[in-house]
Amino acid sequence: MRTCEDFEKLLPAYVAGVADPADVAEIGEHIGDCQPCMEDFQRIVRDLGVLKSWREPVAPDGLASRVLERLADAEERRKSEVRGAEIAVDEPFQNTFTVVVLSLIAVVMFATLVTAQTAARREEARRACAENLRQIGVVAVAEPVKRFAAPLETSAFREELLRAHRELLVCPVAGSLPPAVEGARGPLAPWTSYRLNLPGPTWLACDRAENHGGTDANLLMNDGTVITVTPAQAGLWQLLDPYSPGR
Amino acid sequence: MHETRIVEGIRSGSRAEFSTLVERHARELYAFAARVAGPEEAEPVVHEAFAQAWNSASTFQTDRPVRIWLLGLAVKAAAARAGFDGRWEAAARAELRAPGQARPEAVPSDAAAAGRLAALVTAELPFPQRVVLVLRAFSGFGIPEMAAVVNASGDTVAALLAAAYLSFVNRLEMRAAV
Ligand SMILES: [Zn+2]
Ligand SMILES: [Zn+2]
Repeated sequence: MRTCEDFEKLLPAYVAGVADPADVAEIGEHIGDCQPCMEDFQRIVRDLGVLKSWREPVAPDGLASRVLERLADAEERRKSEVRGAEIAVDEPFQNTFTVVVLSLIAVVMFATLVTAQTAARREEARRACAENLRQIGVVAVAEPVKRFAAPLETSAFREELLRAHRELLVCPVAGSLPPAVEGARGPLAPWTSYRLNLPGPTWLACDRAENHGGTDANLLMNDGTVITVTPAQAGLWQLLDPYSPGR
Repeated sequence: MHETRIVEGIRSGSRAEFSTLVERHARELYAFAARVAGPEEAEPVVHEAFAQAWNSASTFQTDRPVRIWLLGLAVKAAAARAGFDGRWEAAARAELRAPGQARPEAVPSDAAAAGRLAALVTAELPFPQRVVLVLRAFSGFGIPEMAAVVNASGDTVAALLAAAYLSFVNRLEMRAAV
């Protein structure tokens, strides 16, 4: 049995959304039942809120030009050091034929590389989404609740989300969960809303907009509000985190 | 995407592309450096980060956001100045203590005072905790991005973040007790 002291130690990770998924449900349940631990939880959130008042330190005027000037100076110094040691370079290709053949090879190689990179990036996005799901303790994934026909960005979809109560949207590109995720119930269907029976006062679902082709993504909170994350903002794992963008 | 092209320009020695990069990111790097290293160290950190960016553009991985790369360089510059040895994993293994005594008066109601307090308390944290706290609170990064910035594992960054939250709260309450 865990004591209140054990739970207290877990609270910062819980607030940061980085608690062990296996502990998340238990922590949420405990703070729901235990007044002192709930107070500790609220205190952490409140104290961290002080950071919000920390105004952005403003760069002194002319910072960018000073950076560039310094760099130019450094380059100038380096150049004068190597001057005189310069080696003349011969024309590498006298034969036009060689140039044409090499160019063709380069084009084919480049195209292959680009294709491979796109696929790799897509795979990376899937992996990231699956990891996000793992981080919120997706062990709680229940049955699919609803399939959405419309893409994420449309306002119709947004409306639909708003109507759905306490249903959380799971990443539409996550694919299947890694087999390592305990309790995962097989592949997640794209564009499907799952009910996540997660404890805790506020839960945020969906994930990084970045994983969705750079478009905004709408996130449904379990209090019924929807927030929009734009690319480069974080989402899924920032459950209770006061620094979750959009809060 | 466009940013990646800028770095490619820098790789081939383009000053114009580099100045675009500086114009775009100096402000954020400065704010980050000032929060992590203090206002005095901020400008030197920015200079070092950009000098590194110019010199090491060839090692930039084009599938990574430029912002993450630059913040990573700023972290390295700030770490050197703070005397942090770059052992993030070891830093993450510090023992977590439970939050101390609660003090309702810990948080000032005045926003300016709260902002100053935030800066003071953050400055007291160990360097690695300070970095993840600032990244989390002000860069909008999740664990994967933070891990990419500091070049450590997600688990390490997650542990550091939890430790940073706890240290922050404890130190804030301790100040209120004085
Ligand atoms: Zn308790
Ligand atoms: Zn996703």
